[in-house]
Amino acid sequence: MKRRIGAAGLSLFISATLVITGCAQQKILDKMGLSVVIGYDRVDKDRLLGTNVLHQFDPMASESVQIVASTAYTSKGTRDKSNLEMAKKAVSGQLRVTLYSEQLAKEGIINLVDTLARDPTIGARVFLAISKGRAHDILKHRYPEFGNIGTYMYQTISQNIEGESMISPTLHDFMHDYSSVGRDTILPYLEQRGKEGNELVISGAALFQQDRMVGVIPTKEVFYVKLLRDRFQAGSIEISIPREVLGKYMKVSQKKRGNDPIFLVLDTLSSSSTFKLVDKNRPQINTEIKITGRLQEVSEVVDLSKPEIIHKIEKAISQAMMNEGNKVIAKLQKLETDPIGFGEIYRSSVRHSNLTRDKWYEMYRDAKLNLKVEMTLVRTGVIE
Amino acid sequence: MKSIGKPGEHQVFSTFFLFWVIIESQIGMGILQFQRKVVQVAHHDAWISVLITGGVIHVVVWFMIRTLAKYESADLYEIHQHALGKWIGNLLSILYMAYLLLLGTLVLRSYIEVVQTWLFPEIPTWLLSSSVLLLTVYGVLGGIRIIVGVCILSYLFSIALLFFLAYNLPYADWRSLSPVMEANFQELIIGAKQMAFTVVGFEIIYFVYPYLKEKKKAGRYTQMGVLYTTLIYCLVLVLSIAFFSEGQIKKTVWPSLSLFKIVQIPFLERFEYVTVSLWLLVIVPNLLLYLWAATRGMKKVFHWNQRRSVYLSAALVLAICLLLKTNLQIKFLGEWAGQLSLYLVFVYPVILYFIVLIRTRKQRKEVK
Repeated sequence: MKRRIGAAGLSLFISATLVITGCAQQKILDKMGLSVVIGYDRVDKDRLLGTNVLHQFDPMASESVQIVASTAYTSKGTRDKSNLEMAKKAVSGQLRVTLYSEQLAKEGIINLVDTLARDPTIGARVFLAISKGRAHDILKHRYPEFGNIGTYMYQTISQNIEGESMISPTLHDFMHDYSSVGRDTILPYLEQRGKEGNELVISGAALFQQDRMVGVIPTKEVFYVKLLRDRFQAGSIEISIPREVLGKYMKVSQKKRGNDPIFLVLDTLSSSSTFKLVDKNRPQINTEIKITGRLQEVSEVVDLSKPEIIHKIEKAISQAMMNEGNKVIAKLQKLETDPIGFGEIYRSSVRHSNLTRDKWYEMYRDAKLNLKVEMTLVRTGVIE
Repeated sequence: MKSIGKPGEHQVFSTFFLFWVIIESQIGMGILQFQRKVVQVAHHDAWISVLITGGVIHVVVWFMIRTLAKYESADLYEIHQHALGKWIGNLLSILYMAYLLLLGTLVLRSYIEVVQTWLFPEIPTWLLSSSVLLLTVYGVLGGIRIIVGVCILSYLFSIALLFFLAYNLPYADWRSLSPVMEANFQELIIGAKQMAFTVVGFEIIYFVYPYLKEKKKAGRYTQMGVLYTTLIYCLVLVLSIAFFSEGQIKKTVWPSLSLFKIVQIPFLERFEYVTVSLWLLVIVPNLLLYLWAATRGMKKVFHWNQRRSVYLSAALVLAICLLLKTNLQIKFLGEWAGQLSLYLVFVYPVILYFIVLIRTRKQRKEVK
């Protein structure tokens, strides 16, 4: 009998404790302002301008987002200051994109990114992006074609990553590359365009030296960085080949159009790459990329039923990709940034290299990086 | 040799379940943060260190089982009394009890630290620790069979989490693992030493042994359990090295939780929150086993009522938990306990085996 009372008492106590445990700070959605995008700009020598784009849950509100900006010395400082002018508390659990202005990125952004990684409420999949001009201007602008700049920006980036035309710029990727020895971050570069800046475009990718932005490449060149850095599973590209490749199969009327190149669009690209370190003293890395894809569009009438024409096209595409790719690599070497991760390849193939970043940049500058591409056209669509 | 409190028929459990008891005792708070300590020394070859530690454990477990097999049905406390005499034996038993309670405290306090860092920074330590300890007291009072049941349940819940690690695969860069064997022998050994504290817990075999139905099979299931945990640790470590860059692991406090950070399911965006909550199920068997083993000792050494000693040890654990205020203090105590465990769990069983060997041989001669 005594024992039974003890058990009942214990279970009562446990349930009471569980109820008390429920009293941790409540988070009621209606009282929260969910930050979706935060933009950072440099105001003066040591002050930051933080622009917070918040979701509005109030059905009576005229706008679906609220934008609050304030200046402080640290990023979390701007958030605290922003709270002073808000009816709801800003929380960052739903943060999707952080936008840094180009000017700020050129000084280095690790301190700002570090606080994101330190904060357990922020997910590892938050996108980082760089804005041409002030981030504040991009976020503050009223775009007539879309209401919510926050989710629009997020979807623009995420859609392009899924479509494989951008390289994944998540917080995790940034921190990974930042603290690795042989790979640099690459982030999407956003720009306002069109009449009165009413359009928001990913116009390229920002290149980094660890956490310091050193340059921009256009989206066309991002393709080659992605080709070398990751692998393609479903990407697409528009590429040009010289007209004379198919000269002999063309009608006289087509030949007359002069020397304009022929444009091709390839999609469902899938690629695999092998890297080989040939020389470790004066680094030489030979890269071979095998890529398969489907021909989707040709800017000229070509008879695709003949195997030899297909072979000619394949060869021309391989050649074109090789040339372009090598050009991009040379450009990256000149900027001393290594988004492809040749340094990691070097580190993983040389024993006891004790590679450091400085050592690698030194070697990278005049490393011989050769690219070879082998293209196979798997199919040409439903008509020949 | 006869032992004092030989467990009755209704208290023993099938040796087969020992497999899960060993797994649950070895996996606790350590698996959330071990990567960093090992990678700091052995770099990307850290997984070899884990395998070395695993190998060493197999040997130590062999010694433990051989020691236990010298007696019909005795636990460590009785072996101490028999082999080392009343005074030295009991002194060592007390040391072992203190060590077990220290392990329990560390598990509990570092779990609370995780909850406070990731979920509720404002929740007071006393609230969480007292509620978890109440649960533990309730479980320990249920007896060893209840504890074994909890171990199996906890295993079933927590093993599901492993599958979610597949979300990391697209982000994994397997190049990070090569060149294999770049770390030298010394670094690998130091790495293995760093690893040791994470995988302690298997010494629980010293205390559950009398409660096994078929004692002959104890060695087999313990070794299987140890192998299984080693492989899990190795898997998690390999995945972490591929997923993070080396510099990143060195800075991340709970790399395993950060691994779960990338998991995103349409209806659940932040999976690590689920992991932290579910982790309570992983640490409860830990606490149950440690507290139970310690109270067995109090019964054998001081002849206390086990019920009273359960309350007492829970109060003690709670008190130490409350004393540990900052992350630094927890880390310091953890390192200290790590050193202690190295001697108590890895070195001492081997010595004990030889002492027991000599003692039993002497006895046999006397009988003749």
